[in-house]
Amino acid sequence: MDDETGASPDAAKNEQSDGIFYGWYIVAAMFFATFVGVGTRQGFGVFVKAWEDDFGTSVGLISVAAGVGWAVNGLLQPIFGLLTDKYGGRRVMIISITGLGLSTIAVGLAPNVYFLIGMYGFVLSATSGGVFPTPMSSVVSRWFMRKRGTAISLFTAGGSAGGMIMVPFAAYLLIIADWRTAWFVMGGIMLLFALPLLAAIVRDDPSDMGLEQDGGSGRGANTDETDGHLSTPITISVAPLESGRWIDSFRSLPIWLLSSSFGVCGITTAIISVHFVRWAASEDISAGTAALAFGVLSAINGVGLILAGWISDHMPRKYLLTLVYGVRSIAFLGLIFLPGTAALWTFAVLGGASWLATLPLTSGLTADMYGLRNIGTLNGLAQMSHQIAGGTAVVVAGVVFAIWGTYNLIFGAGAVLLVLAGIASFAIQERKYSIRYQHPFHSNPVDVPVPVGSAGSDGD
Amino acid sequence: MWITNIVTASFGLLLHNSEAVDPILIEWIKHKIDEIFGVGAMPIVIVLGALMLVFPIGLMVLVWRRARRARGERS
Repeated sequence: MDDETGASPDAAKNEQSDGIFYGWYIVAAMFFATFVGVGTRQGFGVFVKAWEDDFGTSVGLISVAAGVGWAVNGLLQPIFGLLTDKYGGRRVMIISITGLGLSTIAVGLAPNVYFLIGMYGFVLSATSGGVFPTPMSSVVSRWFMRKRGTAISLFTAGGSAGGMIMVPFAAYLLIIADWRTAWFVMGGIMLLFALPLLAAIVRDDPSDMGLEQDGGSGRGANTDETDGHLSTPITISVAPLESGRWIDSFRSLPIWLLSSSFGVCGITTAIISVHFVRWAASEDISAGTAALAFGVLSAINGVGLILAGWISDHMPRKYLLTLVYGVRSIAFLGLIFLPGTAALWTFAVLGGASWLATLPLTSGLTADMYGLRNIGTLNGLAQMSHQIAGGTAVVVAGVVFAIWGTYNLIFGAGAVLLVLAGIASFAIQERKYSIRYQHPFHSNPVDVPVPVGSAGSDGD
Repeated sequence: MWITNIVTASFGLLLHNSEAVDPILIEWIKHKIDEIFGVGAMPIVIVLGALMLVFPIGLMVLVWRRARRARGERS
């Protein structure tokens, strides 16, 4: 029988035919959608000069589109989370990537910079938020519990790959054609490849395909018998802190600890993203060397991300999250105390290793402790705190630098905040609240699947 | 002045979520690619384009084969 979205579940039902759990196909489809979606947004920087010449405008005005896009993308994450909980991530992603593809093509039709600001800053950035990361994290959390960290980190790595391949692709397209053609091509790839992949492969819940989380059979065969402390039932159980309404989650401490830590992640990454090259200039390091270091950082972040996700499936996630914040804190201190070039490369390695690793750990922990009922909304709120804190920090860092003429104060504050984020992560009582550590017979004995859309029936 | 710098810098956001790539970095990458391969823009576009499209096409084929096998086993 086809599921309610009209897709055939044949492929998934043949779970044993190729030995690969269907959830991994979903992760692969999401990887590509992230690759294209994030890659396209990152490609914005490639076209600034062309727009400057074509529209006869300033870099500052063009940059408004990127700045607005950043804010819009962050602010809408909770909305996409709510929609994901109510209607399912698949629908949200399909509609959003359609909008993303069309708005990408529309950017190619931009007659002036104001159209660009409206289309890129509002429409494209908003619709991209409906694809990555909130709906994806929520859907993947439904499909995986034991390998949740790995699965989230893998599709997130699509963004890193997008930066490495899609952005140079856009840059070279600009050479052989023009910027309009480049945006048409990128939009076309979304509509012709990413959209069909998501529509054909992604399902909201394993139960849509007659499957169970992690590919379980429902007879206990997939409890992790080799690792006693993670003996978790494969059926979707109610997590210890799961509640009917998302707002009730904020009556418990862990969500505050997670969200505030993730906000610090936003603060520290945004400061570096914007001010790294400028800091290098203030240290008499050439822009090319700084760009190379940032390139190294970007390459390392993909590896660090996947490793962090994988390791977190084999140990308490909070320890790894603490480690990630700790490592980044050391990287920030290095920027203050090490001489220019040594600081640059130390940061490229340490900062790169911890750059994106917080996402699978934070999303994974949220789902582990707060369950699946409101996971979209909770992930969306965490993303929003990340973006807003980051945006604010960029402005504050700019003001501080303008007044004191040094980044040391900013990096010092970043290091302190990262230590606090590490302490906050360490303080989370994961063994008490995470579903991974609940014995099936000792935990809340509710063992029913949590259907997509149940939030609506609970008064949300 | 600082606010102009900050706004100007906002497109320098890079590779953490989905912010725009730094123009300095992309110029450097382009320069390095040209230096290493020296083949011109068109072959690079073709190779990168092919690299991008192999993944979704391959994934679709895998899923299609899986579905076909499932139907075969059922009948």
